[in-house]
Amino acid sequence: MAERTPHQLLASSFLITDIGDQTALQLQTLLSAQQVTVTAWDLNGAQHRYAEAFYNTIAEAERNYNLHCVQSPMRLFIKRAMTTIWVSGLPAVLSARDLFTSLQEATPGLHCVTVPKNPE
Amino acid sequence: MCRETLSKCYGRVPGPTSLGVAIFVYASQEAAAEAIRQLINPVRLYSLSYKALVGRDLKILEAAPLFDLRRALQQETRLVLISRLPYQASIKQLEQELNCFGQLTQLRRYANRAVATMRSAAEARSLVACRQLLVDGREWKLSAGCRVDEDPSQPDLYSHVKRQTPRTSSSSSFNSNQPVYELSVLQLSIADRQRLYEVLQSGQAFPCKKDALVKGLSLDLLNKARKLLQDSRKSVEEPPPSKKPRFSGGQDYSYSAYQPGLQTMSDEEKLQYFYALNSKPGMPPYYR
Repeated sequence: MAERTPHQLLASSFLITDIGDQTALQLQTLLSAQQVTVTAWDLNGAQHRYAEAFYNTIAEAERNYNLHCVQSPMRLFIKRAMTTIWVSGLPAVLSARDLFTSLQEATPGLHCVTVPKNPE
Repeated sequence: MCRETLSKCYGRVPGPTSLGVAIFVYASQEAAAEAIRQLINPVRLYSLSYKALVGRDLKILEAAPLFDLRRALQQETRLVLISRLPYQASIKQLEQELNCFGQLTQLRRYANRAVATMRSAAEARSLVACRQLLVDGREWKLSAGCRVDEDPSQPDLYSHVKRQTPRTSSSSSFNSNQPVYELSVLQLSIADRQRLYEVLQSGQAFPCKKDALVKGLSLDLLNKARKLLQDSRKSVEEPPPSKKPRFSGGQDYSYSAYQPGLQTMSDEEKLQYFYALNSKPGMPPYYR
């Protein structure tokens, strides 16, 4: 069987999803990380959590990522793809084009703005 | 994010509305992090005086990895579609079955489907989470009644092909119980369906007489039926023949070139006309 190619990280941190109710401390010991921050958010009452594990060096992060990527039931995610942000609390009548043109001046590097429709 | 708060804040909002949520995609992670900093403390945005962002209680969050927010938001609806309903299912029965999941505010029944409006999105979500209800041995399919997030001006031309892909080799058998091609038959208009059933019953290759068996047609049989249907349609939808005489009695007698009103007819012509009206095939033509 061919050996799996190890993943290469460009940052000294990576993200973890499907963490259940585990605390930051538990995750820190489990992933032997320098620091772990847990982000919790909710969508109409349903709680969602994900965490970010920080290491001292990129090599250390890479080693731990490749180690836990296979073994752990949690899902690990390289942070370089984290280019999307969510904004809530905007008005109901909203134009994606207006948002894009105004935010392109304020925040450079904006590629795309999506405004999900009200399903009803 | 729910509809109640929306309507409370803004009243009845005309046209397509959003849920007050936007997804911003940036070129790099650094740009995204910078944008979060900007939006949390929107000093520069005040100079732009952009109403959508300034003076609002915005919540900014890095997108959770591997989470499709758009799809999740599409499920946040109070409308539930119930499909594959048997024709015997009454509205009372529907109410009884759905009341276990929450309070119904509206229920509309169509031919083989229904649209239920629950009191809250949470109740609708709990109902949709079941995916299907087993009632009297029949499966009622449940799905969220969300607006289709696709461009309706470009319909999916191959949707019927996708639906018709046989699941197993056994589904191609003639008497299969799996209604694989049910949708394709139902997509036809009522007149076409009627024609199809007539063709199926009259044709040698289709000895089935029940509608249920028609639903289980294999692809080759369905194509054959389609061909027969097209042929039958051609014969029915032929251009109408040239104008027939207004009144014609006997076999060889016609008034094709002569169609005046009764007011302008002479007595002789009126006699001819009434003779033609009362004459039966085989009777001799009017002769004075």
